[in-house]
Amino acid sequence: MNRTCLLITLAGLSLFGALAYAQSPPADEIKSQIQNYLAAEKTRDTAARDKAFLTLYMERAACMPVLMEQIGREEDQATRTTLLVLYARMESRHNMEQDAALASLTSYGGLRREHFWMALIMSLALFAIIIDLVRRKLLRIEYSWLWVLTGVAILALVLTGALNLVANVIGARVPQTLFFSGVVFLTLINLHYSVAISRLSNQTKNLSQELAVLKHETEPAVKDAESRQQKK
Amino acid sequence: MSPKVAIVMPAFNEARTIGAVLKAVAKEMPDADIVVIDDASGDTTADAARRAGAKVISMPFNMGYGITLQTGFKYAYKHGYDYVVQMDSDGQHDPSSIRSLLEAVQSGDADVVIGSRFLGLGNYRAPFLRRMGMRFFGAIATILLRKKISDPTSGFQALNRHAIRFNASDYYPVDFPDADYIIMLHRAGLKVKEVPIAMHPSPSQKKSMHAGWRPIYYVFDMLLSILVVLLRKHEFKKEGEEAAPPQKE
Repeated sequence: MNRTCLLITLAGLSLFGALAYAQSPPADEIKSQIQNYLAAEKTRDTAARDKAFLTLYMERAACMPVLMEQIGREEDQATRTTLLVLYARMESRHNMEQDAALASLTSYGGLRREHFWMALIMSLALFAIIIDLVRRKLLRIEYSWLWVLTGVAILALVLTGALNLVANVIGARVPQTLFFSGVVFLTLINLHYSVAISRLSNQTKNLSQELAVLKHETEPAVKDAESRQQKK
Repeated sequence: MSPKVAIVMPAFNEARTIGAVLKAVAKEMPDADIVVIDDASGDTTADAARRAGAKVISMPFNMGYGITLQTGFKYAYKHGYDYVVQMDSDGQHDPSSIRSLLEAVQSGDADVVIGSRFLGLGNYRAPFLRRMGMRFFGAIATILLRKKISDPTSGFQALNRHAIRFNASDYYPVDFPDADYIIMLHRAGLKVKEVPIAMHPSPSQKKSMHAGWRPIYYVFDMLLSILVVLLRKHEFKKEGEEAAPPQKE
């Protein structure tokens, strides 16, 4: 069960990474979509025009500089106006979506919804792993409390919205994914050490007990041998 | 042939009092072997116990109450003792109660007989928080066992060979063997029973294990331990006596 948890966590992480680093489309494609938009505007084909708009809007970040550059170069007044309208439409839609996103933020502790669920699942998975480890006697309770505390802390950070605050304080923004996965790996490695230490202290326990009993059992023989040696 | 009985007494820095305690125990139980397990005391506890005629097992370093106690059970299991009476060596437990504990376990009613301080004899009263803790975990044990458990933390117990084998195994919770231990015994198919005992106040004012952060950790430990016991499958079998106690490492 433990290995499964680990695999699921890793799979989730790599998926997030892949999404974050997905390539944006090349500038040529954006330019041809802008041409589509202009053509549709001329023929008054609103369906085609809206389709082109949406395609461009999906790649807003990559599209804006290209659009700006084209507006600057455009000499035809009518085309220039159309492009400016396109620019304004994209900006206002973006602002509206941002406002809506902001409004929905507060109910997820100031986090984006997927981050909220990710953090929640992470802390619950941590709980499950720890309890399973203790159940299988791989982790001694002595070494488990810190891990349970970590799980509770993550959960509390998520639910109270303090996680957002922490992210702001440490200035985590762009390399967030990297930082996050680094922390996760360190956590897993540490947990592994806790398991190893648990095993070692159990061995120490059994050794010390066996040693104490053996010493008691061999005491007469050892004393006997010592006294014989002294006689010699 | 009369059954072999061992009185297992873990001891830590008890040199001043242990001699008198051992004499009282020996007077009460002349046929039993007294096994003192010295948890690497800084004083002369081991010598004092040896002088009083006890078998002394010395831990190589200080390992704590549970591990020290388990050493006694491992010894008793290895040397074929039929019954073990476990008691403290600081004089809190009255030796006159040993017989009633032993009789209760020898009658076959239970595998583990626990001496309870709260069943009428004596007038022992624990500090408030400790009493609340005992009540709380006692209540959990009572619900799970469907049997009244009034004193889950008592260290005065009598056990038969099935229970000795259990306590010598890796299942024994060495951190704080109390309420979780009773629930474990129950889940392993061992019968638990309480009988009243008298209790003296502790003569030596040692630093209690219930001080500072310990109570909070204790509550956490006990809750997690009980939860884990309930999640574990019943791996320990009461029958199959002569097999070695299951041990992982």
